[in-house]
Amino acid sequence: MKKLLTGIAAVSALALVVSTGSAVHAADKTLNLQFIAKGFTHQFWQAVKKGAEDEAKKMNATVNFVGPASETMIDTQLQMLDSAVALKPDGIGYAALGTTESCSHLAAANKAGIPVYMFDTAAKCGGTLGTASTTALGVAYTDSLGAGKLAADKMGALIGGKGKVFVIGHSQTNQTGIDRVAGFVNEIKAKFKGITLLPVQYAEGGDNQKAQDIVSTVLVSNKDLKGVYGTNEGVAEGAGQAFKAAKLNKGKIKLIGFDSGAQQIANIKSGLETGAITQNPIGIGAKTVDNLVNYIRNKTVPGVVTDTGFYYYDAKNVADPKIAADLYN
Amino acid sequence: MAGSQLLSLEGVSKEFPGVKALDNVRFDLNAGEVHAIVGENGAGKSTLMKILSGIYKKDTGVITYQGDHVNVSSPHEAQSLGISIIHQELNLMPHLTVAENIFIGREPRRKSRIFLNNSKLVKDAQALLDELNIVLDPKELVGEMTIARQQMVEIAKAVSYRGEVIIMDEPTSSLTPSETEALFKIINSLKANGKGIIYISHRLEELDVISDRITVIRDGQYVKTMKTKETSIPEVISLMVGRKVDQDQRPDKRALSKDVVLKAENISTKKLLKDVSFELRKGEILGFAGLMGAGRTELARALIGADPKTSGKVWLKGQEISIKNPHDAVQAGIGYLSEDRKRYGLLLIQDITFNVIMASIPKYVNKFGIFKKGPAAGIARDSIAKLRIRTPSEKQFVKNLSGGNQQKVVIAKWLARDCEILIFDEPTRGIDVGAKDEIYKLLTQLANEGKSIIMISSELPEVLRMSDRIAVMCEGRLTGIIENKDADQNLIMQYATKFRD
Amino acid sequence: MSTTVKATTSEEVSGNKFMALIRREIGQVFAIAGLVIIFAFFSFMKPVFYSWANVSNGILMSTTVTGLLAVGITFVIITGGIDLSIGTGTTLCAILVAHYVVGWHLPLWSGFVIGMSFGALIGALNGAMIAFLKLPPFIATLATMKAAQGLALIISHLTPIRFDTVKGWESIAQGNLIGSIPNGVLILFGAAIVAWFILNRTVIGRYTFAIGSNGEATKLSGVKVERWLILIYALCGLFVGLAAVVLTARLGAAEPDLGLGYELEAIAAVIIGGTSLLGGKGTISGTIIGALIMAVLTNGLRILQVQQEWQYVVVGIVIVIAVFGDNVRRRRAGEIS
Repeated sequence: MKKLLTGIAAVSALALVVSTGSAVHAADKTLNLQFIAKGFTHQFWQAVKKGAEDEAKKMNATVNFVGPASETMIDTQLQMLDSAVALKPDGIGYAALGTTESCSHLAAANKAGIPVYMFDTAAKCGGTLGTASTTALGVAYTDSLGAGKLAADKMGALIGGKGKVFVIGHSQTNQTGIDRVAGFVNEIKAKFKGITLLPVQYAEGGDNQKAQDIVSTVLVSNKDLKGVYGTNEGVAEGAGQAFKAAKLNKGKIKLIGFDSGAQQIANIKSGLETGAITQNPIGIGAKTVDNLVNYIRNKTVPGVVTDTGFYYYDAKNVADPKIAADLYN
Repeated sequence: MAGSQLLSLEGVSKEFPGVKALDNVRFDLNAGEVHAIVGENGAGKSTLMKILSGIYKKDTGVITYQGDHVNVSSPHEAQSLGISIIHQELNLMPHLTVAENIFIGREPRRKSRIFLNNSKLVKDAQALLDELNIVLDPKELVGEMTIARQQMVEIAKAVSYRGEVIIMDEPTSSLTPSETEALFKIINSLKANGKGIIYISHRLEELDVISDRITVIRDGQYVKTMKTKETSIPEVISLMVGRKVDQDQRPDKRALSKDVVLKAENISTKKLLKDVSFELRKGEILGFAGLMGAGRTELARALIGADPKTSGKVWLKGQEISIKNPHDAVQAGIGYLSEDRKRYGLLLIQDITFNVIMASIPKYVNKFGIFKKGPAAGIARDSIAKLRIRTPSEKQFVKNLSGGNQQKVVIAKWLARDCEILIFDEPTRGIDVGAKDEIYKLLTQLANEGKSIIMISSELPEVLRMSDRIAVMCEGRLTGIIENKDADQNLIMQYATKFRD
Repeated sequence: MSTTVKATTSEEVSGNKFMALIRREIGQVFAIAGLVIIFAFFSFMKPVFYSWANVSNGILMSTTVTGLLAVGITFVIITGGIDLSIGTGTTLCAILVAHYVVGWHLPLWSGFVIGMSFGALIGALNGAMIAFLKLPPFIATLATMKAAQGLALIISHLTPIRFDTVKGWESIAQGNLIGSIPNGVLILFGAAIVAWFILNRTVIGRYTFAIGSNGEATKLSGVKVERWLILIYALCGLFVGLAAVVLTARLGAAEPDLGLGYELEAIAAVIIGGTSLLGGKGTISGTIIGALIMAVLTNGLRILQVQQEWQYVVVGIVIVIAVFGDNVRRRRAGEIS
């Protein structure tokens, strides 16, 4: 298979050279970018994809956006990365699922002279990112630790700095998931001594139904619960359903979620969920394409870290155009 | 001929919950002899063999092997002592070669102990086969060989443990006469090498040829040990069943109807059958005789649509019918009782009631498709009474019944379906002498009630005893149909060996 | 040989009908005892465990989807088959229900019809591949599992479909028709009773056992095994469709990337309940008990705040204990050798 792909890549690369005549006109050529995300089906990745594709259209490039079926399938993702390298594209966008496992694969891209810019999550390969790095030029991402910290500050303020709070995570293996929990937990411990944190539990993969079962259990055994923090769309929505099933009065327990999605937005509008942190997925996709294309065409060295930002939103500002631009259904 | 004593058992008993399977049994075996053990099913032969080969533990008794008291506590220990058993159902791996099967678990390895030494494996196997005068290719896949040849592999495997005692459980049950003869040659050469062989068989005629001594056990108890030369088959049988059984019986004269119930014309299959035509009359038992592989079972399976026909027509009571699958056959009132009851006839892990109504379930449901328990249990109880099935109740699991009673359950299934035509394939295979008699009576009774019966059998005395007419097959063709009064074993064999040249 | 007399083991010996029943259903008795012991243990450790709020919302509700799938696949497993497609089949049915009910503004009841029809269709397709194309059930349903996953993503355009426009949809699972029992739980137990009736009192149930005991013998008894296999897989699909409706009602939406892995949880419940993967044996009550054991265990460990990693380990150990214990018992009873 790999041989076949290499063969195809070799032939198409040759065809490319022949058809474009000479490399001098690189600026006019439509650039071929391969994007490998951590997932595919989740709304968040679809928004990144949209951001990347829209930006590529503006910049005379094409993006082939792929990702494994679930955010636990590291090996599948690495195969996708290998295939992308074999295709010899003009550039690669990569969201590191295997934060260390991907290093040798990225080195292969470097050896083949393909520039890589990471998005969402950076691989940890030693050394620093940048043009001298064998790993990647840099990374466009949301500062997940910071986002978790913001959620903690909001939660602390909402419940007046005291009471029981429960954190439901969506993954204890993926870096983003870990950081969103860690940022929250560290901030609560540092700033809100009056808040008791229950042990963190995980609905692996962000399974709504499992999240619902877990939160239902926590509600039963902790009548005095003040707040719940869910680290992604699936678990936040699951927590909302658990509130409904327990017939809680809206707003009795504060719920802070992450990202958007139609159901979560509706829950926030109705008051079932207090608010959520949104990232800028469209910006992540667009910035990654931007950085790659400028580097390939104009040799403009991009920033090593492109922080695309995050915001807290609730029922009051959900319709604000600045916020709404980052929300997806 | 007989040498020193190899093995002896004294006062061996074994009890299972609620039953004494063996009660104070004794037995001994000398080097260089074939000692046969006979008894009806349930007499305790298998239990005894399982104790000898380490599968069961005895409750009491002493086993002496080559002068020492031994306690055979596992199959592995039996093997290391030098006691090998060849089970009736062969235990070979079809996807492995002859050599691989013989040395399974003891494959020669290379110096590294990691890699197999295949050439030595083949060489060792070849040497062993040569020693036993068995002509087999060590590299042939076992799954592609005939049962008889697979049995040769089992024997080679047993000998390869360099044991002194080899137990053979019904080794000829699926062999043709010529294959049996080849087996006997090998047994004789093992004897000449001083091995002791325990030989279990239902085919008493064989014992005359192959055994030196015969021990009879009945109901878990030792009856008698005799020198083969000094006894006779009728004596052995009467010791087994505790009464005399006539070997050369013929059916009572019955007034046969002229009505043809089933007519088959030019039945052919892709593989074997060639233009088989016959008629079956009402209330008749039509025997089918022939050698192994003559095509009798294939004919039955083609008739009931279990295997496809390439040509042929079938008439039921004068009306041409098309049977494409077993469902059509059952609709036409034709029931097939396979020779392999456990595989093709019974739901072993279900109870008698379930098995009896199996072919007629739609009769036991109401118009909403809901199952009526009462009538189903009723027909099962009726069947138990009519066919004299020995069981505590109709809720008994079929696998806990003896072979004869299992056969009766299959018969009950087709009677519950009101089948007019019954095809029995080896109706008494694996059934002990006493129960055979009962099955014979039952067949006769069914024929007298107007059922038409096709009976396939490899045992000529059985064919002669039961059949009104005898159809003989050879190589997929019907070579002759003989009236019972004109038939004898010689004539049948003549037709059965009418090979095309 | 000895078996002829071993016959005298079970009910016929006893004169007392109740004792005979206990003895015949001893496997179930052990399973229920196991459930009671686990329940008592958690109640002792943390009294809130046995509060009705926890029992209804924490335990019973979390059994509904897996329980329905387990009831359905019990039929398939008794035939000696397997259906790996029930997990993503649930996803596909959920998406289809949402697609039509939300998209076409259909009434609530039509969701059941749509879900169960598509479920049965998927099941019948599995059955047809197994019966006519002679594919092994593992392969055929693995293929369906993949295809269903893909179709669910395609039809939904990777977007969850919300039921916010369908009045009362969430009450299918979370409402209370009788007392304070959640409707989802009523559906599960109602479905289980129907399934018990089908398995033990109807023709299709009989043939389910017959095919699993000995398919070849069943065929030679004149039963059209192929046709019944298709029906049995379709029957399993009916429960998958029902599970899909309950799942969407629990979530208020049909999620396109949810459901993979549910098949293994259902199979685990069936196995803990004493149904043999070899076919021919099995009960619906066992399956329900198995599903409850899984739910009680997961919920109890959560209440005790056992670290999540260890929760998985404990569930694994319980599966081994349950199946091993059942094997030991059956060996003693002479049911298997």
